[in-house]
Amino acid sequence: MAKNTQIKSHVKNGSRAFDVFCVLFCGMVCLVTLYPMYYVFIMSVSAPEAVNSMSVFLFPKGFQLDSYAILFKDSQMWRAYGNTIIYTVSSTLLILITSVLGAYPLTVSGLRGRKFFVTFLLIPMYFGGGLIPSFLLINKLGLYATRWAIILPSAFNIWNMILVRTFFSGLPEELRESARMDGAGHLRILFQIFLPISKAVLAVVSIYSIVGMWNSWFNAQVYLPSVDLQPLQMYLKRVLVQMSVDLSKLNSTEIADAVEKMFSATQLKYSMIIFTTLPIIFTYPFFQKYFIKGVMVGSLKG
Amino acid sequence: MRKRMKTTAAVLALTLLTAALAGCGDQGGQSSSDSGQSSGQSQASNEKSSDESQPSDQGQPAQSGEVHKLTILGPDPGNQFIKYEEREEYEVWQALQDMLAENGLELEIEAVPQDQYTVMIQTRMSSNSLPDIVNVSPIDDASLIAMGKQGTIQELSGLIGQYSNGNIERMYKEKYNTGYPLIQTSEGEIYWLTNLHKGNTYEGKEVVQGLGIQIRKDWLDKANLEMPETLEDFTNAIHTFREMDVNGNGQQDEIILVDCQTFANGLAQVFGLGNGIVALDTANGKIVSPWYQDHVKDYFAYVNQLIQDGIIDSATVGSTDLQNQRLADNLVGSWYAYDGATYLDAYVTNGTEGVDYEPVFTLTDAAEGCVPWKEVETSQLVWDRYCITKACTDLEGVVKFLDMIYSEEYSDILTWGIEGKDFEVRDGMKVSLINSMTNEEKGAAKRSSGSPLWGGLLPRVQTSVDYPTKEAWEEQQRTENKSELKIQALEKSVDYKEWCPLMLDNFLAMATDEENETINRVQTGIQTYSDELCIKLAQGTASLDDFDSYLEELKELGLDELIAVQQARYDRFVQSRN
Amino acid sequence: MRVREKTGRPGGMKRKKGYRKKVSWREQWELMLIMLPAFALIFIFCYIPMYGIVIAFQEYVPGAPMIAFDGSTKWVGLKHFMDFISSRTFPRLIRNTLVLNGLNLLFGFSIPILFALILNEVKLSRYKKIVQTASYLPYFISTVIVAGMVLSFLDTNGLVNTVRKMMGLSVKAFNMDPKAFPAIYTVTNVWKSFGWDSILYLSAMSSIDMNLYEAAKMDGANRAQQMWYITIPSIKPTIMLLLIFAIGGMLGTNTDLILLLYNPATYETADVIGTYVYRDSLLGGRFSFGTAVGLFTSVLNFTLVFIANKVSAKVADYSLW
Repeated sequence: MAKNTQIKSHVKNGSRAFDVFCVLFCGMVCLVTLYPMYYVFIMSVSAPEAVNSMSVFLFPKGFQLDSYAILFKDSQMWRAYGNTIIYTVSSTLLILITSVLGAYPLTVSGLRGRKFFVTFLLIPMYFGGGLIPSFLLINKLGLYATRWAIILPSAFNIWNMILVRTFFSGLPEELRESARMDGAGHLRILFQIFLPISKAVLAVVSIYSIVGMWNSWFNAQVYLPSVDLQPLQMYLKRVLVQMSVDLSKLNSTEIADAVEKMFSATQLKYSMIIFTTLPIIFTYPFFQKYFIKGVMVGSLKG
Repeated sequence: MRKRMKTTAAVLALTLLTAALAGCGDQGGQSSSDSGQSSGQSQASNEKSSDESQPSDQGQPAQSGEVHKLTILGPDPGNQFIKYEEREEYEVWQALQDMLAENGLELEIEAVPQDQYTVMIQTRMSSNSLPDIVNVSPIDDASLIAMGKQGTIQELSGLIGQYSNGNIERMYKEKYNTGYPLIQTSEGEIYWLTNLHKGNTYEGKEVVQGLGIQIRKDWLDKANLEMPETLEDFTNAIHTFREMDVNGNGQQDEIILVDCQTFANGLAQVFGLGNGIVALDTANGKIVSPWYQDHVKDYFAYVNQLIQDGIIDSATVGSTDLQNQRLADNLVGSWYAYDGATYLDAYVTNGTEGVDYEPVFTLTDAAEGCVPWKEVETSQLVWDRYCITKACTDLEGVVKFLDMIYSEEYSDILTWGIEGKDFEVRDGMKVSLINSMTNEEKGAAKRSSGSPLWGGLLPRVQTSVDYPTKEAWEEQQRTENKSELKIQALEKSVDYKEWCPLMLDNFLAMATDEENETINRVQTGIQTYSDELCIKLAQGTASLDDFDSYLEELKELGLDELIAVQQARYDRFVQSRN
Repeated sequence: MRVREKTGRPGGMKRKKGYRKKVSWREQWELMLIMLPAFALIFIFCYIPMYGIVIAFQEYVPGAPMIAFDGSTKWVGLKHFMDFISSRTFPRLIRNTLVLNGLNLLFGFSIPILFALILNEVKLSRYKKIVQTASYLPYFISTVIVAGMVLSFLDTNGLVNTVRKMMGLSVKAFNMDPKAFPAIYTVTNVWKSFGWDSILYLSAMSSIDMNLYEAAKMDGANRAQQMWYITIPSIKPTIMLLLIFAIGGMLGTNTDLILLLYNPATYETADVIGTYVYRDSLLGGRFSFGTAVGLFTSVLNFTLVFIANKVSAKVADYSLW
């Protein structure tokens, strides 16, 4: 008895010290990662002169919301925002479906040609035909300059499929076996048994898809020539790119305009970062409840 | 159990719904976005008509009096205030439409935002959905010639000979006499036409735009110094700036900006060096490399000394942000820009008054027997590329369009605007009435010349004024807010003999296949090595004593071959010009 | 441990090596139908365009047919590969790529795991959420801004040098020092992505059975021991999966970030394959060359994945296929 108490208090003390250490460590991490976002924020509300001299460190210098005003008034930005939301929602839903459907059969141990299918998944991760054949394909399918050119190629994600597969493989085989003994087909097993306990991995896949789509711009650059359908990141890139024009490559007739563009974009970029990043940052907390320790396991028993 | 099924079904339904909405929304987007002649719809009709490639579908049979329909693809000029989307509100756009109608032409323009144009054009050119006329500037010469040989773009000299009314030839041969050699391949074929620009002249001399060091005149005044004429004066001035803390902030932090990774920084030219890894010694008609020139070591020694003294802040190399920051903070005593540039003062945003950057023109006596060079942007410029694709079947129409572009009337509305409203003719010279307005004002008033509104979508042919006297030209320059010193610097450039061109390509005939082979093989390697070596020598991490070994390495990388190739091209250029 | 078996192994370990009973054809058909939507999409959008790889063996210009039998494609065989490998900068490019990636692997791989482990131990739920959210914020700041921030911190009158001045050290232009570059790059890269990368680990940790910890506590294990014997083995499959793919990325780099942070003074340690190809592509018309280099690195990467997988199967009993 006494020994037990001794051990218990030993464990408790060590445990407390450990806890403190963990909390401090995380606090430091917080500082290091919060500061830059804070920096972007104070740059976006500081006076333009201070932004140019990069003299803003801890507190905003001069306070102005002009750059935000410009953003709010720009109808093109709102359109881009709407587009991004459309693309993000549709691609996430589609990716969830394709990842789950694609991954499940690969976890059935008796599947014929399993190695072939896995290799089939892996090769495109390393080898691709490049920009032009993809473009020709999209063109041929009649998707050029439409929203589908963005949605369809993003309806699947091989990496997410592999993640889901890894997760499914870890679920006990007994679940599947007992269901089959009850006469269930694979589809039913998938939807009624596997999915409900896969919330953690589905949450991860959702986040990856949402963020991936939110940040993507390359496909839009190639397949969407008109500004109406373009997502937010293209809008952001446009401003950032204007700022980094190589003045030495222009001739004298073009240079004055380029300089003008450059000046006007300086402040805007910070406000744009805040504006376009804020919504996406809050998706994670939304999914966080699936990540809390110990929530999942109850349903595994029996 | 059932709940799961329901959830799944709901999810599926939701996905389909969203996707369908997205698809539908896009249709709506297309039709509502079209105001006039851009994107979506013209794209669709493009694809239909060009995919068929039946002559009957596209345009009308070639008869005069008929309307020729042409499709064009180009980058949206993206001017902030003078927006292409608002073009219908500009009178000058109306004038363009009138001109087109007069010539029996109808244009369908697809304008793609500039920042995605490069990627887009590379992919479009490989597909079958091509418009008639395309701005292919992002694609390099060699690829275009290959595309021409393959048939993707059409050969033009035959077409011009057959249908043209002579405008094109006149522009390229008479007014801009350096034009043709630059667009003809070594076999005499023409695959694209370009922008043309000719600067002003006074008393028959072409006014050129020099580039060089600009120094803070207001600081010179505070320090009671004259404009530096020799290198020693200059060195003295910049040291004095620092010692007397001329920007008055209590710290000795005055610096100058010099781009150490390249030779095109104004300072190297003071030592008689060319402006790139190869440069043209115009006075002697020779292609040279600064690495082989006489005073290259003196230059590096000088720059190194300045870095040691802290006068050149080497941390700013390669970072525009940091350079802009130094300028904004009123720390920069001298910099490199066009002699006539008036925008430098605006970089200083920390509230200082009286900021005044003025050009030095050049500095003499950098070393024993050294003749400084001047980097110059010549008056005649040829840049960008427009070509006719295989999708175009209305050849007569297209040449008519090109004739219109390379004509005086078009050039007028492009460069000047509408006569009587945007410009006037006084004493036989064109005088702009709107040049003193900023772009923002022009955008608000909806008055502009054609260039900022649609330049780039259609070729630019920019004319200028031939001033009968120097004084008349000077008057004009003063109305553009150029200071006396800037005007003088520009005048000096006109007569200066030892100069090298800013755009070397404007002096080189097109490369043959073998020449391209060589250039592609060696260029990146040499450029990388040269940039790196420049900085290392400037910083002192590489020693000047080992200079011979550096030259050896450059030879190994192929510098001599590159010089030989460019020399051959230059010689051909000179031949065909004469 | 029997407790373990009951609640399953949270991972993708092979169960039996050797003979596995095959399913019936009907079941096979059923399974393949389930796979069909996903695999069809992959086929259409990944495999069909793959023929574009052949331009690595041609002199390609846009508009030329990539596969034609009438002589209109210009085949040059392995010329681009040889050009690349025999160029004088090649050894340096490979060396820099491997060094930068090696550092990234060392730190960028282990730090997210470490962070996830420690965060997992924190009990205060609200605090945990805040830290987690803060940790992945840098991921969302675009690379351009991050690079701008880094350069401004390392500037001669930036934060780092101000601290150096206070400590009596001389001011140093860090962005011009090739020796400092690998550190700058690694720190920036890790800082930007560690929070995001840790999400996966946290997710895996959340499905560990609490009973295991109880049992271990009763056996007298302290916190560190619990971590070592329970948490880490439970997320082993995730770790191995990510490790294999990280090794398979040894020849690719975060080229965007390097392009923004480097300059000719640091080419010596900063110039990697990606940046060289980028500068080369500015010459124009280098489609075939770029594709050839891409193919070259892909083949090497894929080989690495293969090797890593085999090693992982032997050593850690985890394999991709």
